Amino acid sequence: MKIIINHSSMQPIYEQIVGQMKAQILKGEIKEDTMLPSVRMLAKEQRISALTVKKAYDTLEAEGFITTVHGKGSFVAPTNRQMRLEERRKEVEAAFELAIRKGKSCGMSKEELTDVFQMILEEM
Amino acid sequence: MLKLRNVKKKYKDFELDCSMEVRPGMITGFVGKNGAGKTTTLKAALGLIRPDGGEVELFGKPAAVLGKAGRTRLGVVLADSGFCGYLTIRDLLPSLERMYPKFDRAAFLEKCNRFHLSDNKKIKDFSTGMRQKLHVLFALSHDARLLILDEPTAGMDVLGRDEILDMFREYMEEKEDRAMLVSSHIAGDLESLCDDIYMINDGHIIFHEETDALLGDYALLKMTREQYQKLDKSHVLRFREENYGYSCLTDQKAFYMDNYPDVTVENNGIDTLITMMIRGERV
Amino acid sequence: MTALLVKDWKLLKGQRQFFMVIIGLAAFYAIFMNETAMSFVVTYIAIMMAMFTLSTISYDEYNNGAAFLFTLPIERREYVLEKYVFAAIVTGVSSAVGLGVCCGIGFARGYFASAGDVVEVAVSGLVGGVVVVCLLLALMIPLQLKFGVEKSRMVWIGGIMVVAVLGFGGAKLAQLLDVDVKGIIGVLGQVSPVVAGAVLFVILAVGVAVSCVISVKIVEKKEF
Repeated sequence: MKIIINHSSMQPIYEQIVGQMKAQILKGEIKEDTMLPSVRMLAKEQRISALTVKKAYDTLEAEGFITTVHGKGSFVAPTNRQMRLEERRKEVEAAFELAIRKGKSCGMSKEELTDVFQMILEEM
Repeated sequence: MLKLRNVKKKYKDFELDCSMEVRPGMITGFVGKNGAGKTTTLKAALGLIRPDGGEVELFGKPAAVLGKAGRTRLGVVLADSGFCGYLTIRDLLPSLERMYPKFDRAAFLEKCNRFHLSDNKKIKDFSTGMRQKLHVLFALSHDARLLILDEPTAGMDVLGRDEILDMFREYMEEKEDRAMLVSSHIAGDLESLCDDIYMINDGHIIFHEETDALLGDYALLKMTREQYQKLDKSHVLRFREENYGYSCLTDQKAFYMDNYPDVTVENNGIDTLITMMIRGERV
Repeated sequence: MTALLVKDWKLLKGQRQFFMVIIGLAAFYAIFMNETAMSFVVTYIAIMMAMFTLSTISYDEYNNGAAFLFTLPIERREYVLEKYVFAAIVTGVSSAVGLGVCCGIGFARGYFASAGDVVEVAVSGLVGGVVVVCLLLALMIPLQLKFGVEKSRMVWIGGIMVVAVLGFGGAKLAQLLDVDVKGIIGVLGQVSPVVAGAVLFVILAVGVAVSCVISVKIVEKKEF
């Protein structure tokens, strides 16, 4: 498991952890049933707060990527096609969001943005 | 682990009224300027001074009934006090072994050696940083459940400090129910170490937040006068007039990033936070 | 308590030079002076050791060290009692050794005509030592705990002056009221040594006990 945290990023640290872990689970780089490091352990390694790690693990658990057995630790849950698709969709959504934000910040209207979207869609 | 409820102490020109809690498994940070009341609070928690009012609870019981056995489960570093300077580390060992049933002599000496603390030199001849290292090493040497550390990294250079912080993290990882209260004037130490942070000013706690939220949700907004006029200030904690316009401290940076793309949002550390909380004005 | 005793013992070992000087002086007195110096040497050693016990308190307080000391698993009462116990042990052991050495020298020089002489030197040396040491510690331990080194010295000097003034004033008063002081002292002299010893012992024991209680109160009230 590889996690690299960017402290000067605007993205909250727990989101960075969630994102990187999800990607590795979906790509199969972390296999099903692998035990994750304990909250304190990861906090120690990354020099971040244990609560941040806990928040990341809680998010991953809520989204079904890991399961936590009380007293034993957290394990990678089996992934299915559905989850993978869902994740892709979210990535696409995020890419759109970024593009729209950029458009808005240089003063493009809703109509202009929709036009651009339609145009690109038809070109493809 | 440790609970202070409206602990009061009055001095000639200073009044303490402090409530805080350290939970099991947590590293709690304690910041404030010199003279804000950090040491007084910690000394009240340790029973070195008698509060004029309020309650101190340690390990779930009133601190007054803690007794000797309870105190073996405490690891303490004080900013202005330590082992008798006329003794050497070697001189201390037999006494420490008698006081702490779980004192790990071999590991303690090994660590002293690693930090180049001579075991046959009088402690008063150590430098401030070395003395503080000795006290930290000792606090970590007897399986204490609660560490109360007042400026544990004072007088240390950057490398020494990093090593000590890593030892704290390791200590917390070894056993889950350990807890730690650590004061420091070096914000960087606390940001990377603590799970939550209390800020004290003029004897009163003015701020308590989880480090995660602090680094993730808090930010400094910088804007021109015109932008400030139009800003929805419902999530602005403090503001300050600057030569370019205004700077505002918020605990909802996402809100401003979404709604005010023109406003500069700056990730800020505890240092900025302290300055804004103390010097800034309320909206 | 043993942890504290061990700590003070280590402090004592750390002050080797100081004790070398004391032993040297004691040896000088014992060798070059006559038999009356014998009991003086024993008392002298006892007083020096008592003074050392007092200085362990200031070593503990050096650089505000007492604050840290009381975060360790040590009861405040225990800390105070340990000072009295430590004083009793070090003064007791050192004056016994001193006495042994002095008697040895005495025998070698043929000072002692009979066994009675030995007992006389021993008793006068020990009684002198015990009385002085008990009074010194009973007064100084609470003072030192309350005021610290510098101030307690001032208080000590002030105290001696007060005693002197009281003594002088008392004598004057007795003169004015025409009380027969010499007569009273004469009566005291006729009391048997056993009774006198018992009375002395009780007074000292009570004095030390009171001092101990006061010291505990002082330290328990203290803030660091």
